[in-house]
Amino acid sequence: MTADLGFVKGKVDLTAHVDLSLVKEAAARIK
Amino acid sequence: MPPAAPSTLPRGPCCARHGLEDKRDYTVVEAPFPTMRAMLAEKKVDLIPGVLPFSLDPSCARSPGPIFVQRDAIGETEMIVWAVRKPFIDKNRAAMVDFMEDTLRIVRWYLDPANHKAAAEIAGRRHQAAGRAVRLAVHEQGLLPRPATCCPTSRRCKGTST
Repeated sequence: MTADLGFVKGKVDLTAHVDLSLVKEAAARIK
Repeated sequence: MPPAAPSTLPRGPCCARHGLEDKRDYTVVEAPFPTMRAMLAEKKVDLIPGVLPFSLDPSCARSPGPIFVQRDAIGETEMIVWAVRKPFIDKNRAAMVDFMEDTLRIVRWYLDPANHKAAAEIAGRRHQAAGRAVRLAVHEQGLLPRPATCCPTSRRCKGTST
């Protein structure tokens, strides 16, 4: 889809660039 | 809206799928979201993106209705995300965690049904043009388009937690 939209030519694996540890660390504080 | 606004993304692939090409078969007009409903009603445009909370306005429901939904055009998406470069996080992680803690607290407060009336009043003040729609969305329908975890729900974006 990213290629279809014209932003990049190849495919992008978003999961390789996502790190939610910061959010989960914050969530752990308020549980 | 700007031609490259996120809400325009589904239009291109969907129109192309039906043989419609920008500038050849249709013209894109830029306009602020709060004005789009009136532009559609006054027949100044033929198609607008139904973006929350404006799409919840009852007068929008009286329009001919949706032609397609975003999921049909480009699949599952996360349209609005916060992204930070790793060096910035590495340098400011403690402050960023504090910030996210505050964010999670306020998101949970807004999503708590016990606070919907107060949340609707706040949202209505912040977005006067769409106040009625926001109050409807938050108070009567209990709808806020974000998860309480502040994490993506799309399987494409879940990523790692390490």
